[in-house]
Amino acid sequence: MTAHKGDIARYLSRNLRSLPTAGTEIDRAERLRRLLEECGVHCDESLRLDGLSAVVLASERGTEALVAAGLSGDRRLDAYARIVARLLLDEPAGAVDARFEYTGPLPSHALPAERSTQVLVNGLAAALAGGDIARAPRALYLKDEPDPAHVGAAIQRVLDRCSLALYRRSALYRRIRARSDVAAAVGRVRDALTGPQPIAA
Amino acid sequence: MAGRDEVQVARWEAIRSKVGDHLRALRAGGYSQARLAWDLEELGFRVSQSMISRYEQGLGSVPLSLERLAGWALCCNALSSTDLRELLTLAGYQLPWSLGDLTRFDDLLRHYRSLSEPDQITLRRRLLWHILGLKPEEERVTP
Repeated sequence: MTAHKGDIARYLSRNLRSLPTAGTEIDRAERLRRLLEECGVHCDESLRLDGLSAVVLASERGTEALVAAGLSGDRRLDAYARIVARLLLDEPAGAVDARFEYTGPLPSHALPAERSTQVLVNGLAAALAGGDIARAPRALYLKDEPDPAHVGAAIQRVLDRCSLALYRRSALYRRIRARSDVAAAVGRVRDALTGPQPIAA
Repeated sequence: MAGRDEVQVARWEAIRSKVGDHLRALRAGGYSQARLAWDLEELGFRVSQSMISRYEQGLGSVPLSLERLAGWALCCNALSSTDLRELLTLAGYQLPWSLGDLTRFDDLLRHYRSLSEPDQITLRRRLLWHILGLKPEEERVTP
């Protein structure tokens, strides 16, 4: 199956929140890999990569996730979490494109836009790898949300946008937002505004 | 040239000098024949430096396949070049991409150049399959 590029982000968005979070790093990495395969992303862990942990390569022929061979459990989970985050936030565009996940910091020639996106990818990937996606702003991973039908949902949407704007700009906010008690408090505010969220979207 | 038709041989004789001119033009900008041979070998082609030299002089003995031409242009970052288009037309081949698409491939290859050598090789191999419109082969790391 070869999914259209925009479809991949929507599929991931719809199914990510219902993904079980229990198990070892190997189990969680495997779940992310299966989720990617389900939406038509061909995953390959057989390649020798040197300064990269993963690459997303996309063309009209399909989307591939290349993960470096022989990664330890936690680094493999991190690589898959980064690929999922990348496809949600910065999907390759055009006839052919690639996104690189470096093992170290971004290279010096990286553009400001790449640096800005990397901050978001790092935050969302950390939340995914940690097994609690709520530790990242919802606006990072929600696609095609229905229009707010009432005042509470409209307020929630404004809060989501503010949270994302702050998340982009402030390292302090990113650290605070990644705390589980803050994520739980944000969830309670959302429930008060829009009602309890279903586990599966 | 055993096994090749007379017409096929005559056609290649007629075009191989022009093919050589375009191949030479692809490898512009100080990219050496030795480096091209090494890069092609890393992509999985058996093309020696002397073969490159012969083809560029219009002395190649057999026509180059589409795969070799695509690999050659990929190594030269010249997928969107006029020379490759004319080469493909001469040889009667076609790539399943528009000029704009091939320009994107070249841009991406330039971006690859900032990566380490092993990463460049791995990614170029994968990209070749996309250029040829094929499903990527499975490459296994030998233990």
